[in-house]
Amino acid sequence: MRGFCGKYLLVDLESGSMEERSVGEDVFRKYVGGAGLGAYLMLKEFDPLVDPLSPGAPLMFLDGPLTGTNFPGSGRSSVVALSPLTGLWGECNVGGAFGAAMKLAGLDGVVLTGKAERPVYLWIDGGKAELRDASHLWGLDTYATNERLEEELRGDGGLVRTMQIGPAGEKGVRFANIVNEMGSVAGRCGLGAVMGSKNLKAIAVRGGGKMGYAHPERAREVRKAITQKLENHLLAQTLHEMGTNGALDTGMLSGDIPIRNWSVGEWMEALDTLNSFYYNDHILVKTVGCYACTVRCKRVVRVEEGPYSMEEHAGPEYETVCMMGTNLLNPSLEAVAKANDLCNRLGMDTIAMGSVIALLMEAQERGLLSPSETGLDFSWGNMETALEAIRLTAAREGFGDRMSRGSRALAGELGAPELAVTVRGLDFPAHDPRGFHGYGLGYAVGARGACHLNTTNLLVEGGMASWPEIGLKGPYKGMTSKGKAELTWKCLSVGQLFNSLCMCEFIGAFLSLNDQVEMMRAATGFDWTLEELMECGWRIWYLKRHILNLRGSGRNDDVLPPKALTPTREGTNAGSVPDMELMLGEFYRLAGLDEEGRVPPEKLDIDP
Amino acid sequence: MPYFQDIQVFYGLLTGVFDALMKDPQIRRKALDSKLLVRFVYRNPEGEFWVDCRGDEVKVYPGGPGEEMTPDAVMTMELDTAHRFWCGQLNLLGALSSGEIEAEGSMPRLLKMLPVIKPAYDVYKNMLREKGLENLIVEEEEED
Ligand code: SF4
Repeated sequence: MRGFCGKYLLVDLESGSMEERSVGEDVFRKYVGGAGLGAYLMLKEFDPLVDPLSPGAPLMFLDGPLTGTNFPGSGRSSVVALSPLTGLWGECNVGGAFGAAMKLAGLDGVVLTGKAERPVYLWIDGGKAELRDASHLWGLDTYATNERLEEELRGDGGLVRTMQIGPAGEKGVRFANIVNEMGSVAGRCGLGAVMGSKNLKAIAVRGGGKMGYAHPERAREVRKAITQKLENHLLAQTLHEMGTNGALDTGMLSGDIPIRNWSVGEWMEALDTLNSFYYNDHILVKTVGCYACTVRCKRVVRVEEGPYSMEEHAGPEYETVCMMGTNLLNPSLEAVAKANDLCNRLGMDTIAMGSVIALLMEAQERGLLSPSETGLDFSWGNMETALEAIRLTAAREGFGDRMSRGSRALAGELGAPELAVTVRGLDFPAHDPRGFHGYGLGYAVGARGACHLNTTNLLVEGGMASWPEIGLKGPYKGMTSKGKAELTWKCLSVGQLFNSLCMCEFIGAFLSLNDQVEMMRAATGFDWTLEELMECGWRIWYLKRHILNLRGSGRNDDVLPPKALTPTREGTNAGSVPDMELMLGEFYRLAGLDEEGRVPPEKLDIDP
Repeated sequence: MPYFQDIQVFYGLLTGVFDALMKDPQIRRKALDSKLLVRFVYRNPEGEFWVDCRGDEVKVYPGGPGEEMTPDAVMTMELDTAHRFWCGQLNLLGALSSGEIEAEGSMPRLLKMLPVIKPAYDVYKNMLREKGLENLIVEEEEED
């Protein structure tokens, strides 16, 4: 095993049959792995036009060439499927240790199709795989499922890693997620609903193998050098000490934070009770990290008492603090932690759920619906309502059924589509393109919709990364649209790479891109250059964009929602909106898209 | 051509900014909560400016404290970079990542100073206007 295992497990849940499919080196060389491999397989092996929730739709858990190595930041993996939320391409990059376990079990991935007759889970133990009855797990929340599986499978030792859905995925909530044993999530695009539609409750893996490197001595040297670099890196130290929520303070300063359903530009007082200092002082129990990570940015939290008390478990990330905090005008971090815990347990994306609640709060304020229609009082900051909305949505009970279809559908039904803050139906992450115009372009052309991970604008334009080796040194001014198309075009390639290498974006930000090349070479033995890898990034994006095109999405959907084009009156980003026409025009020229936003055949590098 | 030929002018501005900010009890409390001693080191022209939030009052030392002190954080930059920062026109994270600002010490504790810095931008620009230096104000459009 040298970076790749050269095979994935194909499981037909309908018949229960399984086979190992080999993947040639040439495929990895062109599409790298992870989400890149997923895009290739989607076009090559499956029908990219199927209904995301139909049995024929594939669900893929895929590793990258660095997954399972001991390089910091490489313990991540991809989940790929068509999205029931957007009806388009869906992918997630998830932390934890599941991906590493899959690699150490000798697989680059697991691809599932069909629908099991009754609930099942897939158990992969070293070289053996079997489908097992999951009727005793159906209905359990994600954490309880993990505990039961660990008890059941621990057997004669060796850690068991799991990915499971909660009740929301079982019920087909359009933004249901998939949660692993650490409370890390494949959060976006509703891939938990795809899993539920297949009657697949969980996948459990015990690795057992040993990771090999093409150049073990070189791998040791590279690991030592990058570990040292991370140890000395001020932003890496900050990420460890403050968690991702450290971005709340800097974001309030730079005009990056969503407030009151993206209508207000600043809320300084919120920092007092939502920022990372408060977090560390009041709810933090300990920090943990993904497989092989030395930075360890993840938080375990507990709320001892009060209406938001919660047991010790995964704490909210920055995104959740914004989407369940500032964007709802909720100043209570304890309430955010509770909402996060509830969403994780029930198996739903906190960004999408928070967005639904925010739009309902605004809709009620505008008189578009009343408490008697929803059964809840959606006043700003009412977190009792927010928590009840989460429960109802996961169960698709009462008004929860309408909420479970996501913010775009709900806003449309209310006759107020402008209240949804989405691109291609995917809700904005908590980064405001009015403060950083290139983010807007990234959201518009990102393969899965409004996403801060498909391009690395957040890292470069936001200031966490400086990559002079590809002409992106910075610092960049946020509130200008000039020059952002070129920046985004490069960031797009790097974003695709990170999601295909399955590299953590934070760690990627703190290292040089040449460090990535060194890790890749040491692990795989491929003599990749940075230029070649950048080409891979663009090649992968073209495949995904082609899938969007096939499903009818192109220039028509490269559009920011009205909220992002309406200036705020206060704060750093006051008066600023991205110039989408300018940026899109330049971007289309750089990418060589036609005027409908389609990928021309000569850019599509895949065998017929 | 640097914004300032004479660093004393910049010292005067920054001292004025901190004097004005510390009149606001909330900002003063936040600064003191940080309990930080920060040393800013400038090049072109050379100089340094210390901010001491460890006691009951925020003290500033233009040119240095004149006695041995160990700062919690040191930030080194061109004076032009500092000026753009106080005009609110510098992406702080980007400047740190790209090396435009070199920092040593505790970044997390420096984050505690951010609520103080935000209101300082307007005060700094007003101070420039008061001193007849409005031509030095860096606005968003200037570098586009
Ligand atoms: S920095 Fe955080 S998200 Fe990234 S690999 Fe480490 S623990 Fe996981």
